[in-house]
Amino acid sequence: MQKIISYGPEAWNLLQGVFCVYKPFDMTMSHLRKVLIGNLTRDLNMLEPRPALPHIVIEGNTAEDLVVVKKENYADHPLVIGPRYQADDYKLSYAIHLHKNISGVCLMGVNRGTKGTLVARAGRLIRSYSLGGRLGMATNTGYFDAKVVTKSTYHHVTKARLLKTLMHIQGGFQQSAFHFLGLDPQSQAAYEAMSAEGLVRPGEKSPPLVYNIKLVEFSSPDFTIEVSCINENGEFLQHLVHKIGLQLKTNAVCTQMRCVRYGPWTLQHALLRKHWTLKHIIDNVSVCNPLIKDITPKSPSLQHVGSESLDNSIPR
Amino acid sequence: MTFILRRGGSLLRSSLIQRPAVTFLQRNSSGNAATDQHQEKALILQGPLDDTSLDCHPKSEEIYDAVVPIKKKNDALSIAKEEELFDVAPEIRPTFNLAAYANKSHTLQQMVKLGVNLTRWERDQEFSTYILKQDFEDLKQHIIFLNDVGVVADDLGRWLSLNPHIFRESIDDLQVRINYLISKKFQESQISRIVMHNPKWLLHSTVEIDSKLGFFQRTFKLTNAEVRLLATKQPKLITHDLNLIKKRNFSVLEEMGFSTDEMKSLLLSKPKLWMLHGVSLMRRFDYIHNQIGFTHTQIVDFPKVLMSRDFRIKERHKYLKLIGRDQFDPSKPNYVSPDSLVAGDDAEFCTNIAKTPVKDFNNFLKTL
Repeated sequence: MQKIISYGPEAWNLLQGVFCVYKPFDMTMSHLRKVLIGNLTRDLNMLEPRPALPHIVIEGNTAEDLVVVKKENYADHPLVIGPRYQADDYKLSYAIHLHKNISGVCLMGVNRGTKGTLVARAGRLIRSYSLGGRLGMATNTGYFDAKVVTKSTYHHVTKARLLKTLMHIQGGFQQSAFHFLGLDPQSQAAYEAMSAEGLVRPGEKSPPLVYNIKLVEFSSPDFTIEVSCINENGEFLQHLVHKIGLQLKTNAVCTQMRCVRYGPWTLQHALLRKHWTLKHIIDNVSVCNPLIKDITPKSPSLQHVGSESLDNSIPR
Repeated sequence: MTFILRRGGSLLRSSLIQRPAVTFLQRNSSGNAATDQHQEKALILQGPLDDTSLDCHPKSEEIYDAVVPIKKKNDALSIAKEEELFDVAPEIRPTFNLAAYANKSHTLQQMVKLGVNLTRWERDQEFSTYILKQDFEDLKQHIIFLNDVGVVADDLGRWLSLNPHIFRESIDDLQVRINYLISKKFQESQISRIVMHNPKWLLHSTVEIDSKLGFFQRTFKLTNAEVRLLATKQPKLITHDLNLIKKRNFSVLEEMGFSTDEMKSLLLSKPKLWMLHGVSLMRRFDYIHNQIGFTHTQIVDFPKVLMSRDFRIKERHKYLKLIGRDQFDPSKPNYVSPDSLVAGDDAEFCTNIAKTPVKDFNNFLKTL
């Protein structure tokens, strides 16, 4: 079902909500905001503008009857006060601040949708990343384009060894997830928590937590892993790849960081750079905005907690 | 009690000077009817009353019914016409935009009708105060001059938005600058193009323009015809900052490694390269020459590749590499020239060069 909109304010009213953007590699979030706002402004100003407010003048001989005249209002002309839509008019927020080197799914909220991004952030949704790594060298930042600090051999690394290392790291994170709950490991409550369904979700201010690491591809020296995590940032992911290298008794640098999933929003929803126009963003809002409703977790740290006695003993 | 008259026409001049807002008139008590040559009728408006004067003033209702002849005085503050009292209003206070004056200033209204973007003018506070004091009839001369030189009526708005300071140059000076170009054998169409594309050209004196043209001729060893070609093709380059041009020369010769002949060829085919952002340009060149592998000769033959933003070049190159169509050697089949790599939008690129559906390209972009 298509609707043709030619009136600017009508399009503006539809430009409310969250949408997904495919953030390109090597672009900062602030630059991304500016590009989006610039594109939206350009497109909105191409539509039919609102008419100028009338300029009513009362003039004439004050001794006789005065005349009320409606004159052309130059003060409300776009050439005098500027285009109808300007960069300051928008509220554009993002859910998670992605590092410059991270590409992929980036949730943005425009105008009334800025509340949606806050809801998404508070929802502590799990993000999936596709990390590319290369064995054999280490740099000072952990990313491949930085200054190389160490070089090492990597021929001893086989797929089996790599899988084992990934399991080991994942196990380590599961242990720390348990610690975030704050329960005594010997208690019954802890036992119940371990066997309960759903994932342990720490609060917003916790360190990064990895739920799952999966090997996607391994062609020595390059490898690709898929990581599902929470509360992470760019440095953590780079450091994770570095840690994998160290565990394998060699070194590794990160070659690519790509967010493939953010809660319910996937790569399918994300708009490519050439589609960052008003039409596509409004279409995207209509698809992405409804997903906001389902993301609030049912309980702060555990899902589907069984017995009532547990509700009092688990610290929130 | 003093009184201040505001004439209708000078509304704006007075508004720029601080004056008390209220206007009122004094009744002429002498009433020398015999000596008055011109007797004007005017209304007496009630002003702020002091307590002491309450007894001498009639009641408020009577004032608006009374029409009393007053003596005409021979000074600037006398009322000349009745009509000047009709639009008594508080004066316009100092503002930060020209919109406040737009409904009152005939000059600004005429400019808007021409299509001038006043938001560009209001950024210059000094110019804004100047233009408000000007009468449109005086400014017409400059507009006629521009029209004669070759600025089309439809384009005047854009032109004047970019260079309003033309109104401050005398017509004689402007004519001298045009005569200079004629003396250097620029054709009329070329002069029109120069003036249209570089509004600020006419602000530079003949000496400045001459030295700039001379600089280009000496540095790049251009013939007279080539200088004219360059000035016509990219007039903004001639008035560009000389330091930036020198920096770019260094960049092209030393950092990119072109020869002087190649640099001259680049200048004449794509002069805009000298006005682009240097760091981005170097980054693009680095990728094009070192990663893709285009030679200097190829880049000189197809300079358009240096004009495209680097993310486009990278995307397309990586895609061609993935599908195995990254063939940049002219001697072999399925050659992809530098221009065709960056030409067109993605749909055209996919149909002509990559020969795959656009969807595949989009899917690939989501893996970068």
